[in-house]
Amino acid sequence: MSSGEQTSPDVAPPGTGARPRRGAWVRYLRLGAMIAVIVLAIVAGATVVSASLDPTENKLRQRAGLFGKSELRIGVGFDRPGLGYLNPNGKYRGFEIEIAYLIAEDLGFQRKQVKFLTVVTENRRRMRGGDGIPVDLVVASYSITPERERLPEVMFSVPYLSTELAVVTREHHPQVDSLGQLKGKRVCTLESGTAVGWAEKSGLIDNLTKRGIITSCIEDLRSGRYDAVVSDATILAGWVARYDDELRHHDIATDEEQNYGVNVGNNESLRELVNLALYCSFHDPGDGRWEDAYRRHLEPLQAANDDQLVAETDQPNIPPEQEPRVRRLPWEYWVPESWPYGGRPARCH
Amino acid sequence: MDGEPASAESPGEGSRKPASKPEAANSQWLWGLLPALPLVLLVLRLWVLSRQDLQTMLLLIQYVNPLGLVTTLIVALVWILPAAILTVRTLSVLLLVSDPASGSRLARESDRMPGWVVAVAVLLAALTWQLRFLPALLMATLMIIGLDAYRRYPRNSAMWQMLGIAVPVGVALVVYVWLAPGIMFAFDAGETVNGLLLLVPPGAAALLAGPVPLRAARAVTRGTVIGAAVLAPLLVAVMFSRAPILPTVAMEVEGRETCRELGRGTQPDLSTCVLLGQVITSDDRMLTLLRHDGSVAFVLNDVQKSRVLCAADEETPTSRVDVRGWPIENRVLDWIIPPPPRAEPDPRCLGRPLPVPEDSPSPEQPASSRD
Repeated sequence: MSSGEQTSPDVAPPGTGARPRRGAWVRYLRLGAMIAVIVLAIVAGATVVSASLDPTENKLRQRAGLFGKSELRIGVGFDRPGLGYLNPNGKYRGFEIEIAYLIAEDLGFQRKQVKFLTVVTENRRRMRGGDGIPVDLVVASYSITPERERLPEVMFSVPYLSTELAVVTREHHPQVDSLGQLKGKRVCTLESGTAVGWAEKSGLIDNLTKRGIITSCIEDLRSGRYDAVVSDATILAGWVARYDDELRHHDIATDEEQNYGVNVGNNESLRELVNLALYCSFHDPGDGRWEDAYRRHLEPLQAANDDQLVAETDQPNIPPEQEPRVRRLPWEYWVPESWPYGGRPARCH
Repeated sequence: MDGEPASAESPGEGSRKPASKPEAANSQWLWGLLPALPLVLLVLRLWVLSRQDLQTMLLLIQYVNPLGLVTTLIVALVWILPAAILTVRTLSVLLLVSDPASGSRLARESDRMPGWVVAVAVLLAALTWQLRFLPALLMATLMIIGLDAYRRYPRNSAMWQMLGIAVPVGVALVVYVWLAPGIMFAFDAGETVNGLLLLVPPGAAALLAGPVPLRAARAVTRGTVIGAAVLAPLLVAVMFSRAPILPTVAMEVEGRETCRELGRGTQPDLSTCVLLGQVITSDDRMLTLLRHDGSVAFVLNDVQKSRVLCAADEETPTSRVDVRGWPIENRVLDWIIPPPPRAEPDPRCLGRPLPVPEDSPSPEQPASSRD
């Protein structure tokens, strides 16, 4: 195209009705770009409004009823060494206790503002601690299952630990590779636990005893009343480690994965906040609280449990598309792992 | 690339259709309504704030400072004015370039707009628009310059090629180098729209500074203006109805009886409890607080132990993306006058009293956090 004064080669004078000349396609291309920009403007406007409707973390805390709460009550297990155990000195200890602290801290509570209450297996769905005291959260080896999710009083967070079902016998019991080998044996399991369905499915229903607490099963196994205890590997691992020379953990071939979730009752806002805390813990490279809890409480159990993995060694994956939609301050966001530029804020709280 | 500027008539050469009487009459009442818009917005804001409760709204009207409300309105909506001016100007000049014979009222009115008004609008937008919209501002500015060159120098294609193509391409290249980390961050973080807002406009500016097909020009400009006229008030109303107009405070209140009464069962048996809300008014006897649930609390000064100013939810950004350390929701004004740094939230802003040190009977508070 030459410069200088000349008439347009591509455009017919307006109003002449002449056919567009060569190059008129540029006008159509421009029109397309114009329409694309207008569409982008509309979508951007809608996105800005929609994003401003996302709740902030503060708003969620308010909706979750956490404002004004002087203490956060968390229901935990009391007879699961390494997971949730009430020491004789009256203090709870274990992996789930650390996870409960992790969540509480992210909900804005200091450690001393957290009150742990014992929940037995059948009370996990009712969100009740000892003496029927209501709790705000239940962090007590509560496996996420479709049946439980359908219960009106149960609402799970994303999983915080993965394990599988396993069998414990006395030390000199022959190797158990499948649950079918326990047919005719006296088997104990936890009432309301997911192992009940597994055991019944494997034909153990006739000699299956369901007990309210795992301690009863373990003590009666040691005394010879039962031949085997069926439950989650993580729950059994602590007892096997405690009675290393008496009990034996068997690695059963099963695809029954157990994913533990936090029950928040009917509190949807609280679930978002708990999910946010777990999401942050998973994605924030500067947040090692989950890993520390695993290292301190579950890893030491592995040596006594032979080939049976106590629990998955990594926090269950929470993909970025499941990130809770919560507005936060810029430095509270996680950093994409693929971010190559460095110098980004790398903490959640 | 497109050809040179068309040999079409320069502005003014086209046959201008005088505005018809009904059209002129229609515009009269529209202009008359314009001053009422801020008033409607202010009333709407109070109505939303009072949770549609008449008594609360009357209380708010009695105490809320109109000057404060207007200030909030201006701060919240200052970006609207340049947006409107630049949209109208860009579309009208595009229409005039594509259809010089257009008798469009929009084009005529806009053509009378002095250049300095557009310049001031660009400056105001540069100061008050969020970073993610600045590429769009750049696009509009370059479009106006390029299209004006096309119109003013219809026989000088070199001028148009320079102002309508070369300059936008050069500017786009420089801008892309600066924006690149932000664009990648936005797509990486799944914020596609924010990524497109940074990516599309600079490049589009080089393409858009010229005429579009004649018939489409009328449809696109008219459609966009009508669409914007319909959607903009809705957008403005939604944004203003969420703008904070009263300060949010948390106060510690002493006395079991007071806590029981004000806490309404949520904070039983506490000797010190925390009330959260927005201050309607405060005098030497009591403080009137609009609480988060929409109720109003009158708190005697005697029972107040401490107060702290809390961040408003509305200040929390919606995007995590930044460009070279500058959050895309920040404005140039934020960089010129940076806001104070945000610290960890005060426990009182979460509704919990300050922890009492074990060795001290009274809570220790940083002086800066008190009212």
